[in-house]
Amino acid sequence: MGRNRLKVAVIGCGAVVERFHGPALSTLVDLGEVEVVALCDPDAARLGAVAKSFPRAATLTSVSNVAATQPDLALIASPAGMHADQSIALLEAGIHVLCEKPIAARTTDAERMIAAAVRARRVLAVGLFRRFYASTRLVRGLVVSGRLGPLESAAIVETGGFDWPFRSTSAFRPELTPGGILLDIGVHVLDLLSWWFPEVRVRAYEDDAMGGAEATAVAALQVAHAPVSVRLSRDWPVAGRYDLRFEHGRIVWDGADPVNIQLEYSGPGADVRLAAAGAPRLTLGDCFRAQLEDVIAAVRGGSAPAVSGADALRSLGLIEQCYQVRTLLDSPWFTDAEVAAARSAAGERMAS
Amino acid sequence: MLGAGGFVGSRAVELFHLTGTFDVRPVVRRPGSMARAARFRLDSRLADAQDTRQLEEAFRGCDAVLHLATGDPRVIVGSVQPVHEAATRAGVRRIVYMSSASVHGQSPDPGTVEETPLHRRHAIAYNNAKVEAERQWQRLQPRGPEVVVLRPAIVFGPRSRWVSACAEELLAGRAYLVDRGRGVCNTIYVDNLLHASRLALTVPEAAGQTFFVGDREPMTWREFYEPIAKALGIDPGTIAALDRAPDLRPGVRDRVRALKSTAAVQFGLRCTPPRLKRSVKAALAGWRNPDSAQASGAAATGPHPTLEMTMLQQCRWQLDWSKAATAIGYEPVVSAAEGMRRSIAWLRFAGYPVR
Repeated sequence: MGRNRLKVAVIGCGAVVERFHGPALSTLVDLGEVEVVALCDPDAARLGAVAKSFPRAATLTSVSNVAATQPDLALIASPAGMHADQSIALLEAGIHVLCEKPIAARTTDAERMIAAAVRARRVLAVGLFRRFYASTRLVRGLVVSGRLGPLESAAIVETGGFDWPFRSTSAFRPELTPGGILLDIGVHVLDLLSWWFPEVRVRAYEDDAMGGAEATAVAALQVAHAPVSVRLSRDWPVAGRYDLRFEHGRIVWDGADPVNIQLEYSGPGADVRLAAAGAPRLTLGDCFRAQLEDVIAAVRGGSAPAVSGADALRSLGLIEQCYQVRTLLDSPWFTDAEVAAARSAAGERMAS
Repeated sequence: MLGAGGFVGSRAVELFHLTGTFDVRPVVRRPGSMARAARFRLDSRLADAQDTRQLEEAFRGCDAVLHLATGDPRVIVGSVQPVHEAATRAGVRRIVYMSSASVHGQSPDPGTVEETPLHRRHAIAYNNAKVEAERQWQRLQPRGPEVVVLRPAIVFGPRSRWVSACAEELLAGRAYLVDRGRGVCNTIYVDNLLHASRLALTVPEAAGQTFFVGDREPMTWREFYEPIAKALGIDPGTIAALDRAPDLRPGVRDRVRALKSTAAVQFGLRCTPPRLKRSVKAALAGWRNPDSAQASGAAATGPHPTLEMTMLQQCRWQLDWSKAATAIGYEPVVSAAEGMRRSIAWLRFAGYPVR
């Protein structure tokens, strides 16, 4: 006899749900694992688009009506600024939560979420899906094994948003998303670094926000004694690249491939054996499904989620540290008048 | 600022907002295109350039519209009437339409001036679409907002495709110069174009006029490529030389685009089932132009001449912007050399290996 289907509510019906969570949930519905009982979004058009895949789900425009549909698990994929209040309300109603990244807009909000989950004895997992890539797990395995020796330097470049089919402007409205590419894409980078290495510190940070949200961010970080540069941009597309240089080798990854990395090994002893060699074809969709399965297992009592609220708090803390030491990134094509105005506008943001 | 997410639009938002020239309202088609404008605290809006209702909502409260939106020939032509109607309904007083000197072709005949008659027999669909768009603006001009048309040629600066593509081709060993790069490169640094745009938006005498605009200093294509090559540590002498332009006929996709921009085909497309349209589009995307060097199995490195670039590099006519100087007081505010210096600084900013 099969297990009871886990009842799932989806809060926010934007692009990540349409492209990834929705198809993953559909697969799990077909497998008898879950039942989608509610979809919630203030935009009726978005609700309608996602409801095509889940015709039996209640379609709601207010989160306050979600608990009445009695879900076991809520997938929160709303704008970051809404994560905390929505998560806490649902946790307090006895509903487990998988919250999309970033866990919240501020660490104080994330801490409130974690405390609410503890009080309610419910799972709070965070959607940092890159941890489900074979490639990122392989990097972690190699780093933890110590075979490559200490990290000597790292240079990371990522772009984001150019092809992403945003379904609303919420990512660019500060009242809903109080941050730019650092909060949106940087959270992945900082989460992976925090997962791979024991301690990541912020040395300096600059971005191009001039009263709004940054499109380009440049961070100087440190892992033990190794300098780590991170450059993020949604202003100009460049190829993503993680170039990690160790005493005995080098790892290069494109930041998007769920399976492959490049490895150079120059250390002593036998060759490094790759755990993911011969890994089956893995898509982003597979990773989202694995993430959901991991959370479902946690809800059913089998294990802690792979990415807990406390795990996600580390990368959010680094983001917050970056914003605290922020300086204005030079735009070298600006006129003198623009530079003066940009500094003034950036200062306004820092003070707010 | 319609089309605020593009190259000129992004720079226009920066310059006009930061210098307080205008109260800027960026208007973009897709949410993702808001990223650059969102660096500022501005009232950005979403509107499709072919959707009158969305445009009217976006334009309401604006005195003028700077129409920078572009796209495929269908969008270029199809946006004119909706923008005009929306601006009229919203009470906009003036529209500045960013056309292109390519209405005269990539290599305009010597003696070409603003009044030289236009035709729609260009080999490149974009040119024909811009011609058709200008004609529509002419027809609409007697009513509604005042219209000013600007015709820049090679607009360069931060985020310009001329600068980025030049750098990428140089780095990939694919750059080339036709006739030793002696052809006229009719440049305008983007800040000069925006200076002209400001005048077009505000000077009463601009109403109803069409203007060429350009940099003060004449430049050849070699002079355009050389500083970028040097900045990347590449010897300009190593740029491949094509003594004669190859005989490139318009590719299938260009011919289809030209056909698509005609009124009859536009009507037919509206009646075509979406699935069929997607199938045809996919087939075209997979089509390799047999006229191009790429399709002939040429090596991955080395020049890949395109019809547009080879025609541009054969240009022998320096476009004359004296009409803009006389009528609206246009004079470039940035030298071409300084514009190039700022463009190279942007290349470094954007992550290109500038030395």
